[in-house]
Amino acid sequence: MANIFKRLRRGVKLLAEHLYNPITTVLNLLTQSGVTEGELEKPYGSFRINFYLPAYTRLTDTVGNYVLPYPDFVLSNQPGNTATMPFLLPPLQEYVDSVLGADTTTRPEFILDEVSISHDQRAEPRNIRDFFSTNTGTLITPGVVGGESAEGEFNSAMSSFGYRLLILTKPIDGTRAAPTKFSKIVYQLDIPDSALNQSVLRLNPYVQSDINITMDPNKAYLAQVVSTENSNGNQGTFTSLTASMKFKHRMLPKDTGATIQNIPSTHDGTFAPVHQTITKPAADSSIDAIGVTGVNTMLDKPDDIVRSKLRGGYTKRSEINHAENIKDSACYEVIMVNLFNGFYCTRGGSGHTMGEMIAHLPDRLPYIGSLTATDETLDRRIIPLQYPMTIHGVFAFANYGTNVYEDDGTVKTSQGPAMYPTSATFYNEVGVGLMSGIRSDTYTYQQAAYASWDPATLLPRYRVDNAAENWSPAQVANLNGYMYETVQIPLVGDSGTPFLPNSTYSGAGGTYGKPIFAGQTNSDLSLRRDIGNPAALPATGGQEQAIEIRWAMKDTGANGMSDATRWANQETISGQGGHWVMIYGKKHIL
Amino acid sequence: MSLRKITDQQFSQGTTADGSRMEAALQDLEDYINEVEDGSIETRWVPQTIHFGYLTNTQALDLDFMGTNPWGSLTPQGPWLPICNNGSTESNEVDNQFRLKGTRLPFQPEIPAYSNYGSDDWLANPCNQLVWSVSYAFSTPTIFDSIFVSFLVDDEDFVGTFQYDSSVAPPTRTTGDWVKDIQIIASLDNPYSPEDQQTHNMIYHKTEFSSEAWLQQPATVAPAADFTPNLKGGVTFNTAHSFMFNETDMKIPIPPGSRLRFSIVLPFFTKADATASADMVKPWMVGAYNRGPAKSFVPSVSLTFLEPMLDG
Repeated sequence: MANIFKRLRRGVKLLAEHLYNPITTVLNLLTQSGVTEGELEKPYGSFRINFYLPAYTRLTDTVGNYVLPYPDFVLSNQPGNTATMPFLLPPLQEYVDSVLGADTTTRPEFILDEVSISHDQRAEPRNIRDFFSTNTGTLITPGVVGGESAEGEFNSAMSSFGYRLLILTKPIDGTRAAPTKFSKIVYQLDIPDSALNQSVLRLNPYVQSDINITMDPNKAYLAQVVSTENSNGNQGTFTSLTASMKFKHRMLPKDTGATIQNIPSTHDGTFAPVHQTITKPAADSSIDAIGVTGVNTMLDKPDDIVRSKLRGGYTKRSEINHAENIKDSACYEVIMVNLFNGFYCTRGGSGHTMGEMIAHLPDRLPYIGSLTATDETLDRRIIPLQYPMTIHGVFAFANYGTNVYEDDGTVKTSQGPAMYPTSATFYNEVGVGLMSGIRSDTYTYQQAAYASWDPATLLPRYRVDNAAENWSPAQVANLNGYMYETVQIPLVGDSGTPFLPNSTYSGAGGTYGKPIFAGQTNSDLSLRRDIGNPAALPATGGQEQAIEIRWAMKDTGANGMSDATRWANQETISGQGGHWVMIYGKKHIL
Repeated sequence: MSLRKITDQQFSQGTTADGSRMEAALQDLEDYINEVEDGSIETRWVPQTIHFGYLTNTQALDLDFMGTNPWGSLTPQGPWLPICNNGSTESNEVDNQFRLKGTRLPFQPEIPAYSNYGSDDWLANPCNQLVWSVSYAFSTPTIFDSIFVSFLVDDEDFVGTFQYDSSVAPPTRTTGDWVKDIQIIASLDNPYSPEDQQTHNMIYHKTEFSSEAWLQQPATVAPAADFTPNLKGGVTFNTAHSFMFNETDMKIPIPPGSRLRFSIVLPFFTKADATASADMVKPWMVGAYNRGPAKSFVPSVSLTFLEPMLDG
């Protein structure tokens, strides 16, 4: 809200007190209540959602527009595309529907502001060959000795290449029996071959800014890359394909209070200004320049504060800045993590023909001892906590999409379309932990979020969204392309507010926790508030250095994930491009 | 003390203190406080964490590609690509013979001519290095703050040690010693010749450091308290060999419009004509079969940038 002072009208007797009130108002703002986002010249923070593909090869590319029906993929001799990343933009816990009610006008908007896109073409105006290509342009045959791949070589035969980034949206719909398609384009960025094959200037990397598209927190989104303009069988690859999408979000107050889990109890995140005042002049005192109530003295007080620079947020070590001035010092944050995302998808059973990155057997996954083993497989990532944040929620995007076409466009008859796992003994586990132990004394973890589910019996309160590109109700399967099931992973603790109103997590079946602070601290801030349910001091003892994200999968039944009965349709274990985990919350200016 | 930030008006003994000057000062104060300028805020930077990584192919998966003779053909190496641009049999016309600077290891010879490209003897050819390169473009002034690189290893599927082979080490290196051949590089394209990598600006280059300095733990230990899903029982998650590089507080300014390339370089080795494993040159931690050094760990990288607050 704007601060408006009384005007000094013409003819009014000039008194020192005319200055006292407005200057006091300013001082109160700067040193007591704090500057809010409405009083900032630049009231927006930003966050990035990052999409990374290690290698986007011909077996995952398409020609042209995503809206082409999949038979056109066949006609154009290209398989379907699953180079995708689903994401949500859920409101922070204090802005979800169940808290705001009908009036959501105070909820900050998400605005797509900028997109940076790139891939590694060896700093040359050419595309490069993928693993399956020889340098004479023929195919190698995986698994056969003598095939000498030309992976990484320049592909001069490929005269035309380019790609397109799409951001698509659809309503959130957790109807498992009828997954819906991302049908509306929110944003499209084309990188044609002419932007990549020039010697003097290439758009790689390229940034497009001031996009200014408002996103809807109640919609599901999908970032998708499709290759375009491919010619002559396309033997190219886009290596390290990277898209960084930058969103604006207006600044907010920090999470504060003793109910914020794991927050340093020394300050509880409380805004900590040091109030400064000026001396009130006596009534009807005359104007003077200097002295305790002088005009210059009074005006110098706020000027001095501004000259000393205003502060807010946290320091790197989670300390509250001394004499804070900026009340709205936090901003939305997203960390996207891709797991099981190497080069392949994995399907259950054992009857399908493997190779060529179409689908692989379960024992190709890490830590699976043999094809019939009931071992679990696990993938994990470690994200450093360079600066403090609070975690408001976690989503898992289980990827079941897989290609069913060979690279010559024929249907791979040995395996059917992509299906959800139906094995009653198969389950996914997703956990997020706070970690200490990177060159430090105590190697330990504190659970921050966790869910375990059998995809066959996933409860609606966990399930957020189901999406599929070419769903066939008759076959109860996705014929080609992406296929995701979005699962809300509850935070530990209770009394929090999950994203979806129907995901109460209360009563039987679990709880959903309040935001969780995560940040490095010095020893004087290592005393933390309780975390978890039942509440207890954090195992990390205020020494967390990183966030670790894990995804495990296991079938405890006989023959594990290769069992021919429970996996009779070669149901997908991990789809092309792997699973995704999204952590969202607040970060802070520094 | 003169007033400097909030108003141009100055009030001192002997000067006028009329209503219009005071009103102007108050108006300036009102304008200021309703739109606090960016430059008045010390803590005006927003941290951005960009994470990328992937699950490395297991040996079992790579065997789907390799065939029965494990050294008969290489497995997919992407996103790791050759560091030098030698063209191919189709084309030797390259714009950037070298796309990075200063990556030649001390025991590698200088490249005398283009004709030396393509040698499969990694010791004789400094081009036998691999690079994992990711690039970003920035529209606003940005500060490059931190680099975190983790290469996780275990005793089952990703069995890297970050030590040279116990029997073979490159010249000037010691068998069994911690490797010193990992390089971490960040560069900015030259704004006037962005595609000429000879002119790029190297803003960070970490080289010739011992991996021992960046191990997760001095010994392999289990966590005091694990979280679910637990680290798998029966697998040793090798904290004494997991590489966790963390460079912080770098404070490297990145001008608006810059194009940043972040790269990690590893030595590579090939002897495509090898007929037995004994023929292969092993610089370090090759693991079973000739799958390449990048197959011996699960990599992930987090880059932290500080970006300014934005206007409406």
